[in-house]
Order: sequence, then C-alpha cells, then structure tokens
Amino acid sequence: MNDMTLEKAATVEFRGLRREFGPTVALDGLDLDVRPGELVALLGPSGCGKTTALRMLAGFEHPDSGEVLVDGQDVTEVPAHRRDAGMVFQSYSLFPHLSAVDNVAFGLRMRKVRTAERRARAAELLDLVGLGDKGERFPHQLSGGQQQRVAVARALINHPKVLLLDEPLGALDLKLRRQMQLELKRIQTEVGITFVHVTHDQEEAMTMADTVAVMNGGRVEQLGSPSDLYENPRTTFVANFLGTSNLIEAEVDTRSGDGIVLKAGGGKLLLPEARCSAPTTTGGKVLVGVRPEKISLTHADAAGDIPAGRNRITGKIAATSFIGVSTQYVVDSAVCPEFEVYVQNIDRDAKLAPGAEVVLHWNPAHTFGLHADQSLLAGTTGSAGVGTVDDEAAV
Amino acid sequence: MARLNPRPNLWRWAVLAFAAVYFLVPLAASVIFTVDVPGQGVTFDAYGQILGADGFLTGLILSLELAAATIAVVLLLMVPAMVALRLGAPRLGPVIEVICSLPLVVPPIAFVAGISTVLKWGPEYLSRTPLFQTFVAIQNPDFPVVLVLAYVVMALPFVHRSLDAGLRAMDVRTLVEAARSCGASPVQALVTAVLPNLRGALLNASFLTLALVLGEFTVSHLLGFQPFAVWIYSVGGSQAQLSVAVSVLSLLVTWALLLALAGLGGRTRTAAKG
Repeated sequence: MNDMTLEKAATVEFRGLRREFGPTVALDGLDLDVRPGELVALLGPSGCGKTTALRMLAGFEHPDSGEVLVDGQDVTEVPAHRRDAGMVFQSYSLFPHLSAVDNVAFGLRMRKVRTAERRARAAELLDLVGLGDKGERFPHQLSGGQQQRVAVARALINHPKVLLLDEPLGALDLKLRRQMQLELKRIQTEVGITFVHVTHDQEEAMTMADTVAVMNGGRVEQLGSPSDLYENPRTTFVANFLGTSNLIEAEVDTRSGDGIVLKAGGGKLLLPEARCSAPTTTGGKVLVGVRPEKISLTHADAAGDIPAGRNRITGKIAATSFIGVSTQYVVDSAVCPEFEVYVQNIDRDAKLAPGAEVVLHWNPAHTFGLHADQSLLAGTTGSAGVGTVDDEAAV
Repeated sequence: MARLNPRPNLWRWAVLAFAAVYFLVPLAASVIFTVDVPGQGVTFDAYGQILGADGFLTGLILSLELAAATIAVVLLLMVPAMVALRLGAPRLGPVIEVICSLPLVVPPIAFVAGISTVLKWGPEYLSRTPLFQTFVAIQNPDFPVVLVLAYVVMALPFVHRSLDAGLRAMDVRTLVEAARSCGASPVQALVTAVLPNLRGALLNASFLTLALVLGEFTVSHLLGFQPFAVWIYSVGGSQAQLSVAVSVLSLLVTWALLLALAGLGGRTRTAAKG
C-alpha cells in the first residue's frame, strides 16, 4: 500500500453551508476546516445536520448557499462521480450481484481498467481490510462486519482524496463495533488520507477521531480533540452530549490570583479563569461544571480529613448503583439536585449508602465555567433527542 | 404436531389432485381428440395440416416481432421511469400505480374503439402532411407499429407490478449512491448497479408481456391485422379437429418461448459471474 500514502491527503473546508428541507433547517451556516490526513468525526444527535453535511461533501446534496472545498478547490458544482471521494454507507451497500472482489474492483471498472489488473488491485485492498481469503464470496455470504470491510475497500480503490463514513458501524452489534472502530483507525493510519466520519455515538467519535466536531442545530458547536472537548466544554450542549456533567448555577463573587471565587448556595467554589468561557464580572451568573469521575465522596463524619483548597459541596446520597468498575452515586444537594458522582471501586466505604450525609469535593482545576444563558439540559438524552439515525436519513 | 400431520398431507394431495383434474384432463382430452380419428386410429394429420397451412409462419413471426418490440419499448419506458420515481419522487408512486393499472379497467374493446377513432382523424386533404403519413406508416400490415403502441399500454399493469416488486426488494438509492461515489455516472450507475439486480423483475415483466402479446386477439383482430392469435381463430373456425389442434399447438409454442426466455435469463446470470 505504499502507493497510497500521504501524497493524496487533502484538506476539506465547509464554508457557510446552508440547507433547508421544507420548514426544517438542516444546516445553518456550517463552517468547518479539516486538516489533511486527519480523521475528523462529525458528532451530534439525529437531526443536527451531520449526515447532510457529509452528503454535500459526497455530492449527493446541494447546499442552498455556501461552498464545499476539497484540497482548496471549490467542488460544490462537481457531480458526485467526479469528486474523488469514497463513501461507506450505514446500510450494507455492496452490489448484491457482484462478489467481494468485484465489488471492490467496481471503481476501477468505471475507469475502464483491464480486468486482470483491477482484480489484482482489489485483492490487495481486500488484504488491507483483512479479507484476502473471502474475495470470491458474495455479499449475502458475508457477515455484517465483513460487508462493511469490503465497503471500505471498495471506497478506497480509486485512491480518493477523502473517505466519507456515514455511520458505518451503526448496524453492527456492540462488540463488533468496538473491533471495527480500531480496525478503521488502523486502516486510516495505513492509507493516510483524510477521513470524515459521521456518528451519533460519542464513544465511537472519541475512540477514533483526531478531531471531533460536535454539531447541534446545523452548525458546529465546538471543535477540538476528544480530550479537549471532554475537559473543556464551552457550552452545556457539549458538556452534556459528551459524557455526563454536573452543572451548578453560581454567582461571581471575587477573584483570587488566576482563579474566580463563586457563590453557590451558601458555599464557595473556585474556578480557574482560563477554564471559564463566560464573562466574569462580579455579580454575574455563571454555570459551573464538573465531571462525575473527578469528584471524591467523603462521609460527613470524616469531613475533617478532606485536604484544604478543594471545592466542597454537602449533600445526601439519594441512590447508588454498582456497575463493576465503579459505583455511581446520585447525591441531592442544596446547589444541585441529582449530582452524579462516579467512584472507582478500590476501597468501598460501607457507610456511603442511600440516606448518608456526605461531602463532595474535587480539585478546583477540574472545574469549568459556562455561559449562564443556556439550558442546563441541552444535549441530554431527553431534550436534544439522541434518537434513531433513521429519522435524520429520512429528512 | 405428529398427530396432525396426516390430515394436512391428505388435503395437500386433494388440492393437487383437483388442480390436476382441472388443468390436465381438458388438455389430455384435447390432445386425444386431435390425434385420434374414429376408425383410423392415431394420426398426426391435424398438426401436419397446421404446419403446412397458409399464414402459420408469417403469423407466428409477426407475433414474435410484435412481442420483442413491445418488450423493448415498455422496458425502455418503464425502467428509467420507475427508478427515477424511486429516487426523486417516491410520493408520486401511488399516482403512477393507478395510471399503470388503468388498462386493466378499460376493456380492450373500448380501447380499440378509441384507437380506430383516432386513426380515422386524418381527412383526405391532410394526405400530404407528415401526420397523415405517420398514421399510414404505423398501420403497415407487415409490421403494425400501432399494435406495439397498444400492447405497450396493455402491458403497463404487469410491467409496473413486477418492476415495483423488484425495486422494493433493494435499496435503490444507496446502490446508486454507492456506484456514483465509485465514479459511475448516473447512467452507468443504473446499468451496472441497478439493472443486474433487477434481472428477475425484468424477466418477469418480459414473460408477462410475451404471453400477453402472443395471446392478444381483440385489438389486432378489430384493427384488421393477422398475428398468431388471429390466424388461429381464422384457421380454426372451419374445422373442429384443426381448431383444437391449433389451440394445443399455441399452448406448446407459448411454453417453449417462456422456457427459452427463462433459459436465456439463466445463462446471463452465469455469464455475469465471470
């Protein structure tokens, strides 16, 4: 596969893409830059416009306004078959009448490459996806995961500048999906071209992508590396859609050094200024967030043992659930009902049972601050509707 | 289950026996009637007479030509239309279905009355215009194009049904998009990705159209042409034994053609694999 390394990796740029389907706004001025050779995931709930954006890059949809650039060239008016973009679909899209090797060779057949040569190159690509011995099988004789591997090989045969993946693992079961995530990542590293991956599964996006673009309401809500997005969400939507966040409404009190002291329900919390995306004028409102796994839980009787300088909140355990690696606690407190805390099961404290008075405490460096003028529930399962993918495809 | 088994089996045989009696007995009776002349024993004279009869070959060939032309026209018309409908305007589906089913509702006799009225539109003073000449040309008895046009309309319900079933069985949009992202133009996508998977539906549509054209009588007879079915009628009217022999023969010819078409379909399948 030495002939298909970095030389062809291309940039992808979306410039102010807008698309309406009747009364629904699918894309609302989408801007996004993808660097060459990068695996970028478009992540969002169904209806956020991620599939529409991908289909515009493939040439199957036309924007009402805005443009798509590949390798710096405007391809908005270029028909799909001249775009140099391979695509892998969610539903198994192999041609049922062709064997695996002929499916992979299809792109070369369209380019009038001789039969012997195209079968040889198709066999090479089948090797790349680990199906070298299944070339003569027909799609109905292959499992779902194998079919998707063939689909990836087929999409790569013409040396595309960019590979588009539209929920490619959506139809696979969980275990196979995990395996295929790593497999796709390996293939991407090997061929080195730009991958644009659409998914509604945040874990999949975080596992595979170099860069994740969290989409909401037809635009990119936040762009960054998986760890950056997780640690420093800038909106409640990102904070809630990527993992779980505890959000507290607080008021700016004073400053101390490069931190901000906040008042929340009688107590005080410290927030590093660099981790606050909201204005911090004294008396202003801020949403304070902290991830459940950053929090330690101590029984109220042992509150004296907590080191100084940590953010603390008191509350009462409402529920616990044991899930093997960790125990999840739901704590009712004055500042935030249903505070979620995940504690690793290293030394389990039997006193931490429902009804127990507890102190929640965490390192202030793990606190993030968000604008107070947004919904606390944005991006949670109920509100944004992390529903089926089919809804979006049907738009 | 074991206790219940004998009864369904019994019913199965009963139904099979009934069907056999219903279909095979008249057929066997017809065959016996044509070969067994009282007092002479078994003779194939009747069949010999048909093969030697005037117009047998011309009628049969005309019918086959008409069938081939009808199949070609109706598929060229319907396949792109149905695929475009699936891809572009799925909501128009029921409208097209109703339109395509109309020929089932309109009796052939009304249909042919309409056609002859239209064909009489060209008055004498228009005889030098292309319109009139077109009307004359499509009624050329050697190859009456007007019959092809009529048969295309009459075949619509069957062709629509089989193509619709074929298209329902696959995800046309994804197949076309997959082909296009592999570098196929829209036409290439249709020919290389959709059509091969429609083979069954296309064969089915061709079968039904072939059977329809071979057996069609009303329209061709009333418009004054003489394809196979009309020839059977005209030759059979004069002699009882001959008329039955002709019916048996036409049945055999239709079967043979359908088998040939099926065989053709089977061969293209193996060829496509290579």
